[in-house]
Amino acid sequence: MGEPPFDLAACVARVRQRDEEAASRMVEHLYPLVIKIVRAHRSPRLAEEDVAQEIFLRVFAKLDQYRGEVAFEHWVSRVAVNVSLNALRSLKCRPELRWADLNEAEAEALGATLAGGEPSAEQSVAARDLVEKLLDCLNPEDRLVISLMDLEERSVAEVRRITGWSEAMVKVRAFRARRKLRKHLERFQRRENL
Amino acid sequence: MNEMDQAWRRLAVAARRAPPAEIPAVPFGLATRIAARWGRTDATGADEPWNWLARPALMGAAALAAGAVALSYEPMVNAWTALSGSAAVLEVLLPL
Repeated sequence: MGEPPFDLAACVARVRQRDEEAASRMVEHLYPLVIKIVRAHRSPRLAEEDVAQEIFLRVFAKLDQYRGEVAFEHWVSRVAVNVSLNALRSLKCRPELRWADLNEAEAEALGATLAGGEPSAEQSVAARDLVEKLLDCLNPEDRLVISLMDLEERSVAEVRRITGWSEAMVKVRAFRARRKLRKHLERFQRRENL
Repeated sequence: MNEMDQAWRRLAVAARRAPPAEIPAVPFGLATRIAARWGRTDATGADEPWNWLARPALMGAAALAAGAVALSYEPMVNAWTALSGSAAVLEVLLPL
């Protein structure tokens, strides 16, 4: 006979009673969800395991504040986004991306994009890595809004729900973040045209 | 749309096409380690420095503020009375 299905509600109740084994089971159950968020909003300069650990500790510490109004996974996602943002803020300085920082595949993908073409299917991984590096030049809030809207294709309403920002703030941040990205790309193009 | 906006859009589309990175299983021992670390913290969160520093500091500040008001109340009232008492003299002196 297989293992019984994981009962999240029961696990939450046990963690509330300071059951360490239940806490361990909860980490195992939520790890895929948390690590996906960490990867989406993490700087390459941060260790994903450390950020994930911080998220789980925050979830446990704030568990009494969970009132069950939204799905537990959604509540955890919000905590994960906030902790990831704080981790990004802690980095203070943001690197300035230069051609020399790109590997060959990334430089080709960028060259193709700046020339007006689209990176080929084979270049998609390089494009993703390049986008990661570009996002690392933005401040945490700008990076978050761009990741959610342009990469995860989430609507303004969804971004509002995840971040807790107002609709106007989401739109303004997205506008400013795209303007900054535009400037970075323009800088690359000037360099390309030299 | 600006040329660079379009470039960004193309780049984002290409990035979205990249195969999703594989989600790994929980690294061995991580779940137990996190649970144990959480277990070591006090249930009330009293091990956090702000929690045990903030309350006495706040109470101390409130006591100091109350003490300061109590000590300066009488001199302040006396000064105000003295100022009111000298109003008649000032009325004579000021036009000069």
